[in-house]
Amino acid sequence: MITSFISIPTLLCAAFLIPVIGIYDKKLVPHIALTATLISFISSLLTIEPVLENKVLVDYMGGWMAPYGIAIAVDSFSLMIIILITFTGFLAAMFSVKYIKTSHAEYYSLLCLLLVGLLGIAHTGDLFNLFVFLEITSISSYALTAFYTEKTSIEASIKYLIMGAFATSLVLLATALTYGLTGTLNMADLAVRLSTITSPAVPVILGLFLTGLAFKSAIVPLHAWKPDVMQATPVPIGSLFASASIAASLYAIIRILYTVFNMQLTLILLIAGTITMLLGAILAMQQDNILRLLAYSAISQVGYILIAFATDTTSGIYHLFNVTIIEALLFLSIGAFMINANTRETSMAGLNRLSKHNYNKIIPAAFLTGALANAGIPLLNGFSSKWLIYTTTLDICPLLTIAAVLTSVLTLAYSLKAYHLIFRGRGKADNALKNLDITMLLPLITLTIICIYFGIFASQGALISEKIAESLTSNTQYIETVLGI
Amino acid sequence: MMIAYSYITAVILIALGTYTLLAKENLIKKIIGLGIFTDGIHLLLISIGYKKEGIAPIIPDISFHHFGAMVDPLPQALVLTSIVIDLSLTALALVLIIEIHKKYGTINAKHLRSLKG
Repeated sequence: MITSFISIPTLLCAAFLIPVIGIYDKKLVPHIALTATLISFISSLLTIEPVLENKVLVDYMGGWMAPYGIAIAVDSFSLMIIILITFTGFLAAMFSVKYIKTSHAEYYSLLCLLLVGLLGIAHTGDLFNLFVFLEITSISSYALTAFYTEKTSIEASIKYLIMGAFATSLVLLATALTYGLTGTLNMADLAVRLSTITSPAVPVILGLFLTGLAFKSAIVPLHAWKPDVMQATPVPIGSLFASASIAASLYAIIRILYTVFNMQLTLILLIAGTITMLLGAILAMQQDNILRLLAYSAISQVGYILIAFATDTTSGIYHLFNVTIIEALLFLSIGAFMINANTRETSMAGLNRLSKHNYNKIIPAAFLTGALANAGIPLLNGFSSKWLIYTTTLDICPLLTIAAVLTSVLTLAYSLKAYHLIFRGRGKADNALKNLDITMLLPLITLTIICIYFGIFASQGALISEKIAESLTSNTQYIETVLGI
Repeated sequence: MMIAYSYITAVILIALGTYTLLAKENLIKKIIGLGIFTDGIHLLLISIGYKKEGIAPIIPDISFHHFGAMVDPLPQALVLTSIVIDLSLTALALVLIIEIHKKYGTINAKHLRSLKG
């Protein structure tokens, strides 16, 4: 019995109880969501010890044994992703208590469903199960994008829906072809059978999987939905899209590449990563809307993660962890500022015009920490993983290091521009400032402390990432434990 | 030869669905194209499970033991799940199209241009 698997039924029950209880008592709704996300976070922390002992925890749904049943396999990489998803989910739920003003029941129910989908992707050891949870995540995302029923939100949502439905159907097509080729859908069994089959269908299947999952991770050229969606959605959900959703979809890509197909695909990941990195940073320089700027920044960091995985798995895992924390911090600090300044404005020129005499001083500190960490300034966690990327790419191709450093410079440029425009304006317009609750400040403070901790104690993070990378480099441990050999 | 026909039909449906999704401007027609595309994938999935002169995967009574003659029931379960997922997706898409018609006055995809950059 895997302890962290409790989170999925808990959040499902919460998602279906919240609309019912919301009819009778609206005040209870945030509390149910907070309880469910807290239970999932604690259950994911309790799984750390069993995973450290046994390396891979396996459970089969309904007792149907390998390889015919649906497997739930949690190894150390999955556990890191599960902890990240439940942590950012809990912080987003806590942040939304005072952020969301209307339609609480729909919002929290969809938030719990989104977390169910993401956690399902991280737990599963079966390809079709991955598809089902990917669809749950996607459909909750489409509904949450259209949460404020404004013109831009509905347009962003329908565009995301049409493109996303096509992309996840490609994953279904890949699953269908896999079943036709090998006769099994279990990831470990598939790894065993694929090592002996040589058929022209195998690259096709891999290509279809990667295309469908690359859409969800917003890798160029399948990134076009992300800025529209980030502009349209409520900011706490935007922080989840930029942190937890990226973590889950990159986890799926890495799991399929490293464990199922047992190949590293260095060249393709390097090319895709470099283009994503540079294009994200260049497009972010041109943005006026702060949420679109942060979306392009997230896209650029995903490029960094791909380059890191292509060269050295340790730096990839470390950078994935850091990017998740940093992006959550950035989005939540912007949301806190919008509540503090009592505005719905997201254009930086508009935010510049507000007068900021008595704003809460924690928010600029949090945003600056996140922005500098994004750019890779020393003593913050972004530097630790980016340094690993610079040193490993220097051995392979110095042009990559130049591209990576150039993107860091561009990241610093647009982050400082954003900070200066939003928090250092000399505006005259007077907005009645609203005080921030502890529920909004606590996520910011927690994430800032984590950023600074992994910046100062960088070697601890690198050691943990190295242990996790060891479990990823060879898939024999995973296969043997899942199949029960 | 019957099996090859169903695979060819599945691929033609996938191609037609993709064409409809890309080329038509009306949003409802795009959603119909998405439905045709996923129906092609479902047909492909069921055809994978077919066995020559196979019978339905239902056990008539306790003493039945010709399990090898049955068609594969796993793709049928996958397709049922996928049909339900597509149902909810289509429902969500149609609700969003109603909202678009209220806000924009049109459901022509070329006229949804308020998000830029």
